[in-house]
Amino acid sequence: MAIEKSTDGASLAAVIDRILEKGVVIDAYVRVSLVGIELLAVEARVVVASVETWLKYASAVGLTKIA
Amino acid sequence: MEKALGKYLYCVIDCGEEKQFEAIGMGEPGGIVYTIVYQDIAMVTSDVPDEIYDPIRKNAFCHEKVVAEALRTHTVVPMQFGMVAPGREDVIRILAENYAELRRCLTKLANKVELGLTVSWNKENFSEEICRSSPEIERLRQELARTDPDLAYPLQIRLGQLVESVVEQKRTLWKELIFRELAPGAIEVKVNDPIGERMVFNGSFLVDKAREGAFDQLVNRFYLTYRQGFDYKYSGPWPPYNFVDVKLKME
Repeated sequence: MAIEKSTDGASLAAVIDRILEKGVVIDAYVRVSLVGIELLAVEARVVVASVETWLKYASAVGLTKIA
Repeated sequence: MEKALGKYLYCVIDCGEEKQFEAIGMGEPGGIVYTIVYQDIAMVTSDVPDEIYDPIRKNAFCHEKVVAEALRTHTVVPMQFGMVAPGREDVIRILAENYAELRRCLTKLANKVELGLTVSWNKENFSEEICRSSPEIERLRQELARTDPDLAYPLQIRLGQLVESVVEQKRTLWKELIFRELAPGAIEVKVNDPIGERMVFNGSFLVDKAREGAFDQLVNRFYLTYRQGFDYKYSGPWPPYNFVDVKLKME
């Protein structure tokens, strides 16, 4: 079975992985809320603080659960 | 108080004429998406209140959809999310003052496509492969299973750090493997940070449009060889977000 290529139904993570930190920037015209970015990052699991990261890695091999 | 209207900036395209796109602009209700032209380049824009834009799901997909629509018929240089210029004259100034840089980007990206590939361990294979590759991880897991949950925190951190370092080693190997097998089919490769613990590769490839089919075959062959225990997501063509790195100046 061949691998399918598509952008239909692209995940939020794939989209914001592209549009939030890449592309042309004009500093004077940035109108993005940082809080909004953080909320979205949590939803799409793009960035996490390090301790939390380690707990997630631990949890990913089973046994330990994230509280 | 009524907010002043501004121009939300989606992308710059190789286009010398005023035109509209069949897409709905940012905001509520979304405005008409149209071009503001300077010589043979144009900004794709729509009128919006000049305010802060949260990158919530709806707005993120709106931005992406407009740029994708422009990509159907033009070479695009995508803007980062959330840029609003005060007025038409400001947009023309952006294009005029950065004309050479934008032209250079458009030329570089003409007849190219961005294709995305992510590879992730599937759930069962992740635990199995990671635990198998380090006796210390297996030992810590067993110790954790016997430990009072209230006292487990330091062990969990230790385990997590170890798992992360093993995962990082494996990511490096995958990156080398993918470069060896797939980079020859692409003009440029950009590797991004993985999204989540189980992702082993997150990259984008800039590929000549004429060679897109050949690259698909290359990816497919790779997939058929290395799919066991892994989930693949192959996506595109995307606007070439990963291959523009420009900060424009406003005098």
